[in-house]
Amino acid sequence: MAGRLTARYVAGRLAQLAFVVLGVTVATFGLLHLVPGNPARTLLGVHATAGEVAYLSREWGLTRPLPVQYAGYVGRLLHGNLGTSVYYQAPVAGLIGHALPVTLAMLAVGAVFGTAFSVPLALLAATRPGRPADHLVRAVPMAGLGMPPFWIGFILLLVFALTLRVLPAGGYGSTPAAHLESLILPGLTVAAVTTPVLVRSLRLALLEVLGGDFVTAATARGLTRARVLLRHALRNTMVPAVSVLAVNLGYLLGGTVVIENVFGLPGIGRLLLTGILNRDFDIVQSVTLVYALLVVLINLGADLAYAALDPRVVLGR
Amino acid sequence: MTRTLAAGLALLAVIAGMVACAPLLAAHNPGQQDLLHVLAGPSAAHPLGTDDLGRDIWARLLYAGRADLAIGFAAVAAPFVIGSALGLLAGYFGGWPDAAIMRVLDIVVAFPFYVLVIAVVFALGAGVGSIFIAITAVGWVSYTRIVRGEVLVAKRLGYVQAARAAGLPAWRILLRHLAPNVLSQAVVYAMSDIVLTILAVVTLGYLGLGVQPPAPEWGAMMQAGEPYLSIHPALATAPGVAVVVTGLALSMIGDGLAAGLGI
Amino acid sequence: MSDDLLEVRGLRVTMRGAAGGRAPVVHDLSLRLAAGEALGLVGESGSGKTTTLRAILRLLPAAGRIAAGQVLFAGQDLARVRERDLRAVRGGRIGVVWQDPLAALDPLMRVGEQIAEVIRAHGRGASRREAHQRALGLMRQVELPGAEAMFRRYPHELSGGQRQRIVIASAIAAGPRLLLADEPTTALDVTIQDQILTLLARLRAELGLALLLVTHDLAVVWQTCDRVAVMYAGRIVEEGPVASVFAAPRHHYTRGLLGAAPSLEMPGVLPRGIPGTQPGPTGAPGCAFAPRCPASDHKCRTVTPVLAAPSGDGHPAACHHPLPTGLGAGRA
Repeated sequence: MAGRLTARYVAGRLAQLAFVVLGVTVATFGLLHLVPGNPARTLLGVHATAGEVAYLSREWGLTRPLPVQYAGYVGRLLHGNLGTSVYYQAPVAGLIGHALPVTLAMLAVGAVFGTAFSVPLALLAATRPGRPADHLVRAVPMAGLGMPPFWIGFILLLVFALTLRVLPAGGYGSTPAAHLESLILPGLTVAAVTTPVLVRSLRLALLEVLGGDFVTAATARGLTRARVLLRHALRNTMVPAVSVLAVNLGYLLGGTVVIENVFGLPGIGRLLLTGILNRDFDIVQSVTLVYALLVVLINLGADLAYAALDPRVVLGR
Repeated sequence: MTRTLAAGLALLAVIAGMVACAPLLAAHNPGQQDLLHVLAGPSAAHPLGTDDLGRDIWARLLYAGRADLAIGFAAVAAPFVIGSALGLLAGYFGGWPDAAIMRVLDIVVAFPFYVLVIAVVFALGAGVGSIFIAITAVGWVSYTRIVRGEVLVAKRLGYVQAARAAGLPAWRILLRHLAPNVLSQAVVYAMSDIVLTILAVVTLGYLGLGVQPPAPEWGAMMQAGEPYLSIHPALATAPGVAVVVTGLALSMIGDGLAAGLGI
Repeated sequence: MSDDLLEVRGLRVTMRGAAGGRAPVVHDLSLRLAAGEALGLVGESGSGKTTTLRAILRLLPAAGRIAAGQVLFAGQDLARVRERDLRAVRGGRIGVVWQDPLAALDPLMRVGEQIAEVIRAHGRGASRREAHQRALGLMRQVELPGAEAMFRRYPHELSGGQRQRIVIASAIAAGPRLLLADEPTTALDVTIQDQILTLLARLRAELGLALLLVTHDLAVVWQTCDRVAVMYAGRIVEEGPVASVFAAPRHHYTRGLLGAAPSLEMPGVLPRGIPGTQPGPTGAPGCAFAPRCPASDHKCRTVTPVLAAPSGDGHPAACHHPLPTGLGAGRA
């Protein structure tokens, strides 16, 4: 690691992390109490028997005071108990355990595609400021940000799966090769959502770096254009790029929920939606929690990445 | 006024005009079923064809635009007001109010936008009221961040210092001196936020959590059209194009405003 | 003269203005530099001296363009050669030392690597290991202590003087014949400035380097250079051997510059002695210095003077009413 972390920074960051995680559990706990009326009755619907309602009320401890309920909730979480799916009749932890790798794989494929699109586009635009290529690349974010993620998914589905029939229309397959094939279209969709944000920030960062003295100095040393651009200029835009991604993470990650649904990928986003369809509260609650933990962890990773990417960064002063 | 801003406003005016004049532009009632002519292609009677219940897609598209635009614009109001107010308070007073607001903000931003909106709408029950509550609960954070940052900068500038030195009460400095100067950034953000909000409304509709059928709504129309994507793609793509064009118009306005304000 | 290492002929540089038009910032500038010689290019900021230096290697900012002229170096016109041929000259035959060494180094790359990459860019087939070893040698040559440890440092971890030594090491890494130095000591502490100038002088002697030194500091020119060219508003207004120009300036602007300095032995910085400010370099006819010049008349405001040698002894100046030679005006 090039930059440094001070012990004080690590301690402070962990304390903040713990506070946020605690707050997140309060929020997911509170979700149940947003449900109008008796949550068990409302969620089970009008056809549920009194016995079923009573069972669920007891399971959630709805008759006890709120602080006791919350303590019980956190206690269960600490034991790895994320609740039980009424619909699947299975522990939610296990369901998430199966679904999470799919979501992470889709994100990884999306990140690869997103980088592969954004970097050349940003380079193209930033090295030709004010020229047609630049204008075109700047129009991409404007057009892209106005599209719902699932719409982009529809279009890709329509073109590649239904018309050209070169890629599967949905599902996840059963072999690693089939998995990868199934991830191409969802990954492209994730990239289509990420690219506008990334191109915009990368282009701005590149313009600033390319106008900077060290790029001129590197050119004056007779380095090749490719080396000046890739090794020096692009490398120096990584820190701003990482921070923009971290800031937009919540939006980008949220988009994956719908994308999984379009392509029928069995990830946690799809799990969330089947939970909603089946009024399976424990699934909704725990998947929401897992998404938040994912954001918190990725943000922590981004902070560490600053230190890894930039030797000037001393986290913690 | 930049060309981008002008083009965006013009485009939005056309869209708004079309959905406002929906009864004049569409020959059919959006809810009128015709089970003898389901999934029909474009014809003189039905410019975009009919859906799986024989309803006129063009009419539904226009009436759906009413719902999406109205909800999109209206749903931004509460987060704008609440978020900006909290940002003003946090930035101006600092100390524990700032700390408290920012810690709550940390927690809200830990949730992916769509995930929290979906979860809250689910808990409250699908419908327009739930959408408003969910978007307010999640959307205020951006305004708070932006306004707080602006206030922190403005506080060090002469006019605020002078107003303080003159002994003006805090509420007066906040409302008369700070708010008008720091809100321009929030207004620009609101334009892009309307895009995000309309997309969220459409997405909730697509997931079946938004405006409830049979009322027309772009997202719900896309969901209904999804099974027919390969045989009758217009069902899902027509509302999609409507969303994209609307989003583009609003993005252009936001970009143009930002450029005009030199941001 | 055929023994010139560098000859700039009729160089004209324009910049795109905010309104979109192109304004000239360097007019019809010519200068020559023999192998091993040191030429100081002095002037106030905005006089076009840094633009001239950058134009030699076609390193102008995006708004700048060489509108006319030639930059002859080793038989090629650098203003016209292909980008790939220029690359061999940049860093290879001509090294550059910059004003702000912190800005001139990539903040994310170890300083030793930044020297080694120049060696690899120009030394065909130099292995990573050889480049590393030679970079260490260069770091010792520029008197950096503990080269092995220093190699692995990042720019922000070094002092200003150490950074400038790294920049100098990277500038001489590929064995150039000419060094372009743009205010190499301005950003440094006074005590360090002298060390860097001494280092440059030593490297020149050891390596037989020619030097084009851009500065606003007459003391630096006095200490470092053989000849000096004075720039004003995009033109060279006076040029000659340092001793001659300092002892007997012929242009009123040069006299003003020297007059602003307390003494010849220890000249100070520009330019308190001249009333008024330098105009932007425009294409209008007349001497750009005329509005500030005590000797100006109608001719000065209408006819642009050319850089011409006097009929008797003395060096060239672009002035209609040059100061008489032999008048030691610098000691005022």
